[in-house]
Amino acid sequence: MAEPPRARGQLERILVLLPLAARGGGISLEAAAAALDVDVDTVRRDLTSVSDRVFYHPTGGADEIQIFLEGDRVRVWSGGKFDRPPRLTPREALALSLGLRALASGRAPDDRPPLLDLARRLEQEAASGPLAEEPGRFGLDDEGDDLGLRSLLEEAARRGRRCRIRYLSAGGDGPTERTLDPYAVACAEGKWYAIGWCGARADVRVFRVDRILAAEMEEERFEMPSDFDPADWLRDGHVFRSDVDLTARVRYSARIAPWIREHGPCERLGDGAVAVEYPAADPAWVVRHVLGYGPDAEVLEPEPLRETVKETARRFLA
Amino acid sequence: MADRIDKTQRLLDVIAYLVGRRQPATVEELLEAVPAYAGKWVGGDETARASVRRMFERDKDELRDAGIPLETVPLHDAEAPAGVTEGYRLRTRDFFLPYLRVIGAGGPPPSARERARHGMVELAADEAVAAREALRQVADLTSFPLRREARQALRKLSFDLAAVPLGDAATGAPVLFAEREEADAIRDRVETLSEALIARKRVRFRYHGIRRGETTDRDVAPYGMMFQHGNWYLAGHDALRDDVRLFRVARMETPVPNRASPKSADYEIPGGFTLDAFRGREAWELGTDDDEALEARVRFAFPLSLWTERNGLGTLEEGGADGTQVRSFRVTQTQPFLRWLLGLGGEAMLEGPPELVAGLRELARDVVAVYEAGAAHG
Repeated sequence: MAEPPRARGQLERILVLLPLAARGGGISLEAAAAALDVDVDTVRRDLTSVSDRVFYHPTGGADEIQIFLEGDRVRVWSGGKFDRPPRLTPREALALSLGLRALASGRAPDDRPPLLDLARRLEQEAASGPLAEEPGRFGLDDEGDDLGLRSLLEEAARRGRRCRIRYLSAGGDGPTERTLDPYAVACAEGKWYAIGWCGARADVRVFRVDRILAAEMEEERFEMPSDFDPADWLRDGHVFRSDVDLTARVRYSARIAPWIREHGPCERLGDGAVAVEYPAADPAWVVRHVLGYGPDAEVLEPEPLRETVKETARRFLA
Repeated sequence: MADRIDKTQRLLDVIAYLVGRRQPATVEELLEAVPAYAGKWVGGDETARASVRRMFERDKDELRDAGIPLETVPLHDAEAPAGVTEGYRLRTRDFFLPYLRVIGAGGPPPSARERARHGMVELAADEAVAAREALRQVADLTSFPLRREARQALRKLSFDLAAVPLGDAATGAPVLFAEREEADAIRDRVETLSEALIARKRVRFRYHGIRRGETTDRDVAPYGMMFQHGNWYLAGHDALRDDVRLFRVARMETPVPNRASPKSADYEIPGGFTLDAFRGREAWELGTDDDEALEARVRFAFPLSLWTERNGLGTLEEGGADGTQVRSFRVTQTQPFLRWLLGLGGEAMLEGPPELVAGLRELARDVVAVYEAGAAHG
């Protein structure tokens, strides 16, 4: 929560670092840094903080923790005092419980209880006290997937397994079958996407999980290209798609401009209205998005897209 | 020398002193044994001793805040005024993480002695993967208020679990949350609000309400926090409207919690309150009490009908041989609903009730007018 005093953060790391280095023949500084998810200098500073205690402890008092630095390895002897990390704190157990709930929401309803049971079991057996708060007071699991396909795609991404999917493209005539090598699963504005190699297009594509009607994991494995970074596909809260090369410029009325300005940079037009450019977007997405604002949003460019929006609205007047 | 002792060291010394003891330590023993206290406690005058005592009280709170299960126990002491004095204890079993053993993953099991000392939790391989994955995902969510805690829990669980071969299931699933550039700024507010929720402290903030276009000062008792459609919301009882409301965190200025009597709750959350009333709702379902709900009937053309079915949108009323489906929706806010239908581009036709059908036509007419006016100008 609110960033704790520096001392506490350091103490928390030390309580895990000591047991890591007390086990077996110790641990390399690099491995310790990786396990703690900090840099090697931080590990060194933490160790110094422990070993410096020898200067103020009365003779022998501090020798209950001995630190041996041998090259880039560290070994700790603590007489069994720090041979395991502490239990999960009530807040850490809450974080775990919320994470498991979020994970559960991607599974089919029947597959959710085991994860919730796991959360309860770890909270009872591995935490130092009851949860800091009822998990139901934090909602992370808004977009559930009752078919459990999100969870299946996550697993396939983790295990590097090809999937066969039935996909309903926006504006398509009907669902099509294709293979997908899921490289990553991403959530943007509450919607879930799978990013991966599409067998039908022989290219990397973004799929909306809510448009995947069925998916099965195949035996076949894939390797994600080493230069693929899923983060490259996310920008300021959006997943952006490379399959359509288009820039749409949209005007939003003064009435809704405050909402739009919340979302990020936009160009102010004279009358209190604002304009936003959406690069590399899917035209069907732009049409849905703009119509979703009714007369308060208007495609300014390109002209053909203006026509599409107008014609779509006309269909409701027939 | 005692001047050089920093706080991390002092707290570590308290833990190291208590964790190895079989018997609880009296407060005297503890203050004499921990160098940072002993320097002033032993032979210090009244003022010095009182200040050491206060320092220890603060440290004790801090250790407990950090989740260290430091127990206060009454100890028999013939010299003490009431025959009892305060003692402190950190039980091995309460302090250390039990062994996390993955069933069937091989490796030597903890010895009977180790098990007796720390306890053991057995996990199936898929449970071990799920626990780590769950923590990794929330730790990666920039605006998650317990992100630090998730990271620390992951370090702890990984102590045992990272050493176990879990096959191809063990590598991190690349699950990402696309967050707005403002996520860092939002996190501070989300943290303050979550902290206030846990402590049941009221919060004040200036709120830019968009619906009414007003900026108002709000005084809210937090009931819940919700991450929905990529935004954080606070649900709570709002003194201004005397009702439970939802506030978008991005529209608040820095929230300030009530700092008076931090250890006592300002309010209780009513037993009947649940976030479910707000959660997973589409915009058109998020109504207030004064909105009347309408039952809308929508016919979805094939193949869009497959999508509504896959995602369980509305309630299926009838399915046609041509693949179309009629679904009903309970609508409390008509405008967002109509705009959503408009966005489905004629693949979803509204069949009733008449007032909604008329509203949709009007909306469509307004949109067409915008483009015709634009063309005329252009």
